[in-house]
Amino acid sequence: MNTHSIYLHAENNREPKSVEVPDHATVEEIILICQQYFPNGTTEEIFLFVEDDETPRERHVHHGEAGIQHHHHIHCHRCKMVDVIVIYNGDDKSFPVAPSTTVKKLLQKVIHAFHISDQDAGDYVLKLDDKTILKPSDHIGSFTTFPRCHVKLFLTPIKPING
Amino acid sequence: MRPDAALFHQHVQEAEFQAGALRGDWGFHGDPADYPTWPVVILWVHALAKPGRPDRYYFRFELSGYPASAPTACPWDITTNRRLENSQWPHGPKLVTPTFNYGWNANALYAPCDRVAMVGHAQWQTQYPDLWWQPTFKITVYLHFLHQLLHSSDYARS
Repeated sequence: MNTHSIYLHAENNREPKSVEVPDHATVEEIILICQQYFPNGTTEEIFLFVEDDETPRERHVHHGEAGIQHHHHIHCHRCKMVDVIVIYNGDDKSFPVAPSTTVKKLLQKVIHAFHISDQDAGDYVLKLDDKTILKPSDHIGSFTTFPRCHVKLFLTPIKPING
Repeated sequence: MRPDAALFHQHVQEAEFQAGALRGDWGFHGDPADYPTWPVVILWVHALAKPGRPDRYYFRFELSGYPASAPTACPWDITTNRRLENSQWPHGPKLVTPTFNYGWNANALYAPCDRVAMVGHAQWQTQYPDLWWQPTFKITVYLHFLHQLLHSSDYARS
């Protein structure tokens, strides 16, 4: 049986898994694989997204038809959208995004929304309440779990190492 | 294979390291099969395009006791197989140079995930909890940190 590998991300889980999927697999079958690694709710409740794409894939279609290719990153989540509240300098803004949205893509929107110049954009990071710094490749859905389809983040300048 | 090498090998097979390598964020210099120079491994990290600067920096990682012990890394010149000349170290006044600080130590990086720099900096444990090396950490913590610095505006502008 021919297979190819994809990266699975899932709700409330920060470590993606690399898995092999059969060439003939449908979206539904990939959701089942996802459930084996990240058991969350029932299979029927789960939406499957391709990284940085906001449309949940149809379950019955072949994964190729759904745009899932070798080495693609996909996200299985029960939230269809995640409302990200970003706090910066006492101001807060809401960013409704798909769970498969990368921190890199979100950060671009956030920087623009808070009117930070492109020149300075690379010196900022997004952090959780507990000070965890999000990595550019992280998916937003990894930081929340259904039915809590929202995340609070803080936009902060990168701290230089000193002391 | 030594236990530290075996754990390192396991970690670099995992999705986070492999996906980063596929994105071109980092990788091995040469063929890492069986790590013949263990505990020394040369890895590279991608850097933003900048006139007169390479698009990747190589680092000589010393990984004895990994991951119970933190790694230590030094910018490396793969053509001479020696530490990178000071003038070639990445710089950026606000974020980059404080870590790439050859005046402090010419063979290590001033970082909470670097074994050499951790000594005498217990306060970093609370200041930089994401970076203060713990035995549960993987090499990707160090690589993400370097990648972030080498993609910062501070690096790009300087």
